[in-house]
Amino acid sequence: MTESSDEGLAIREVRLGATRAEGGTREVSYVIGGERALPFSGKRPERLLVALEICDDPRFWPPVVRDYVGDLSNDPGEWARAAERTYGADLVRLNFTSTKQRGFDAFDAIAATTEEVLAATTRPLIVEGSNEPELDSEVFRRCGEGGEGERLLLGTAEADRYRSVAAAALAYGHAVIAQSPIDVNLAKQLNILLCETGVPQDRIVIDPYTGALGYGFEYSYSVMERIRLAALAGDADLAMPMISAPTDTLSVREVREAVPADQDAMAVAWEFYTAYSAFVAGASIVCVRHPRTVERLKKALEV
Amino acid sequence: MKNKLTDSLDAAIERGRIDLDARMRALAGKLAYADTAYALPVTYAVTGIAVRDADGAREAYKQSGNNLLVACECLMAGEGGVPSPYTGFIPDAVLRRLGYTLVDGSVIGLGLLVGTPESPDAAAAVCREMQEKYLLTFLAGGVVGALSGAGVRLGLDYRLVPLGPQSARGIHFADILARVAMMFGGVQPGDVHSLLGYAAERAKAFVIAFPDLTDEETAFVDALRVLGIPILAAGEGYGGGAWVPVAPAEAVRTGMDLRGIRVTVTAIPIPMACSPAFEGKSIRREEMYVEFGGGRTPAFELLRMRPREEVEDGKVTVVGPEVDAVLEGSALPLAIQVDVAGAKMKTDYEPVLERRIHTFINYGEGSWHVAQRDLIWVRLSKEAVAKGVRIRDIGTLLAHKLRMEFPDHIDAVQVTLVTDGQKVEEMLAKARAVYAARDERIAGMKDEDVETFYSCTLCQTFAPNHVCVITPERPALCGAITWLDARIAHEITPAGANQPVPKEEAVDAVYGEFSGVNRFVKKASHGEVDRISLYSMIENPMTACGCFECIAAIVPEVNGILIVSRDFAGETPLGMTFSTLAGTIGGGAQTPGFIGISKNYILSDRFLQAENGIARVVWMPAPLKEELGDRLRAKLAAQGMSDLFEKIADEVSAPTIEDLIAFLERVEHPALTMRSLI
Repeated sequence: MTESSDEGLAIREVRLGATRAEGGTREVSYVIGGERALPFSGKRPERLLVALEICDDPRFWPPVVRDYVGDLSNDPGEWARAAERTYGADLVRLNFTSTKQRGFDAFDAIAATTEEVLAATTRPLIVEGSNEPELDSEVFRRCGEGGEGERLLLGTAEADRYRSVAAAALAYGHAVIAQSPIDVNLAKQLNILLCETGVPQDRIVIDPYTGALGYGFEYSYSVMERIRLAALAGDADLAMPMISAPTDTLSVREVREAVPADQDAMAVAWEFYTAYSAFVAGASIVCVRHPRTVERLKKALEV
Repeated sequence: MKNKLTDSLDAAIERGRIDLDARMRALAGKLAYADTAYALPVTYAVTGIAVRDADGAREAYKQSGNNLLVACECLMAGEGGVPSPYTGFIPDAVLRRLGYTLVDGSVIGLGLLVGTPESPDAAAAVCREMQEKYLLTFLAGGVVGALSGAGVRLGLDYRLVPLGPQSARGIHFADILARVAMMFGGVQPGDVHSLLGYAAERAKAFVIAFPDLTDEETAFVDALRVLGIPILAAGEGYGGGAWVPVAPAEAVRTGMDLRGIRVTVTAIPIPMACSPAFEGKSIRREEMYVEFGGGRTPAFELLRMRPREEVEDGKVTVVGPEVDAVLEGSALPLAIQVDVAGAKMKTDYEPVLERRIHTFINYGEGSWHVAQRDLIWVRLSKEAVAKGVRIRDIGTLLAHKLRMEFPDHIDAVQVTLVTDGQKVEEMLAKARAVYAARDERIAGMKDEDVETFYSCTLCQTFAPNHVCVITPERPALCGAITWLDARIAHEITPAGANQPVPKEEAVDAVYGEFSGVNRFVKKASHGEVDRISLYSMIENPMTACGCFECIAAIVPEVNGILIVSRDFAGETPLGMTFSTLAGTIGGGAQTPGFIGISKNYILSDRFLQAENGIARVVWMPAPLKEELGDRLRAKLAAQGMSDLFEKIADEVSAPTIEDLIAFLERVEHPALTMRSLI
């Protein structure tokens, strides 16, 4: 149990991205966190960010998105550029899905792709490294090196595999996504473990894991609410901003089995309502995959 | 200068210090390392001064209190580089990668080898062992040439880094530690205290010193001890000081033990798969090749803590016939004796670790285990034996799993498996004495004997404000976690769901209300629960999650308490079933008059003592009564209430409240005449 601190019971601020003045090459950097009340209960949160997810190997990506973006899916740089300029995302989340393939060993491509996407974008970048525990050490080092100085948001640390992500964050100055399986105690435990490794508390973003709407989202909502309530009540180990990635939404039956003409609309609707609910539950960043969801979320946030 | 055989280590160090002092006074010119943002890193970390020239060096040396590491670094910075393949000073960019592997666990410790080994082969063996154990090794001095001569391949890729041809180049080992502390540990330049803390706790390093160090080098190596680095003297000439003499073959193990460095094993070398996936798989009689115990033969298991020197890590001994010496379908006697040693091991942990034997053997694809102690029953499947699984492999499995799961508590495990009947019988008598002593220790442990209880918040996943407080005399309400279990769980996972709860002053000793417990529960329940009484079900009872083994509920009509267990499906005299009652009291609420409890709590001296304890119990389902049977009878006899057992009604003697009233009046149950509960 953590004693209430004098810091005013606010959620910690986490800085993402580094401008030239801050040692990086981004045109803007973002600061998330800083809330002192439940979302939408008083002042509107200053900054809610919508990230568009892209990947380096489209074989492991939802077909509905692949079909929509077409050739972009074979060019992470162009895809990232379009995310910012065409689709209007606040930032890009780059997923190294290539690490899912059997016998992956193209480690140098990881650093190269990270650099390529950084060059194609002007805003902070989220990087999802390895999908395979055995590859963690090599992959996260390349992600870290490739983005040195840019204050990436690196994912994803979990309770039994957080060391490589933490090491990359420490060695190359990045922030970390800490994911726990819809459990407030495990979220807290992981944050403590990361801090013990040396990751400062203001470089951790909690991912409470997001179930799809209609497929368990209420558990995610409830755990996000509890994390935030505990933080506002003074639990410093939970006082971090949250990120939500409702990735499961694109594989629900209703989206998979929609008639072709409805498929995009169905995918966007499912992503949109889940992601928007995650904002309501307290997320600072939501990550979606369908480009049209970005537009809808941005519009909804303008109101 | 190298007159060491007749000379003491301390004298050599002193002479070295004088020489280094003199050279510091004579130092001149610019001083710098290339490609680093940390100037002269040791000096920078210790003093906060970024030294650029000799005058700055002297100032820093003075400020450091004449720290010899500072002197050696400044002197080295004035000397220039070394030819390939030596690395000399390692630039920041490379160091970042080294530090990364240290933080992410692909390297688990650091070693520095200096001096000139008497036998190059022995030094090569040391390096091989360092590599096998995931240690990153730095080399300086004659050892480099000796290793190259012995055909050992050197370089960062081999985790053997040749710093330079003189042992003095070992100073780069210190600048690496200093930079890792500043880069990864958040250590601020000039903050010696955190630097030493980081070096002692995080950067686990040791030095192996071969013979032939000069006085200056001896003084430098000795100065590393300030960073908590033990110096192992592998050879002649370093007697009479604080260095630890070792045979080269023992050097790595000793260094690892001294620094608490442990290798994590991931693959167990046995010819069958081993995973929790197989835990629920049983081996039926017709699938079995051989079995042990289960009533057919004598068998037992025993885990004992032993002194470190009595345990040879990984050693498995089989005494008696192996499984391939017997026919299919046979039964053999079996003793599983596991000896563990560890700096943090305690006798109290023995039973907790011994329980894991059951789990681990069931992890084996072709091995199966039930029960505990001298009641065990173990089987190996035909399929497994055909694949080459032997009883010896069970030992290997246990040794590895125990090391893997309890890395902080166990430094070494050896397993002895005995299948010789007469031997097993002999050992069995001794094992039974150990079981008896343990029972006495746990049974004898009272709440007043300890200052700390433990919490369990595992169930907050679904009962967000529930907090279990576990005491020696009140196990968790699920029955799965005793106070000892919670304590070891906390030691193994310090940030986990079992936290120490300081009990502090008793607010009320009879009700079991303690100020420390109240404070803890208030925080852990997120402010929902202010007070709890550990020994009462009426005044501020403990909350319940939903996992309770039993429910105790007040029966106002008879001024008594009934207990119903989860496995009883019928109705209680309250007109409600277990599940109806459970629905009323779970979810993390305090429900006066109802509590969730474990079966063992019923047998505790602290059982609802605020409500007169066991004497208030008027009803229990027959299977529960039978299960508690002799233990409950003994408890009652000890309290002078031998006749009470028969006065507790069950679903046969009293299915309804009317029957219960009649039954209790007939047997003159003491609850009827006690003070009113409500």
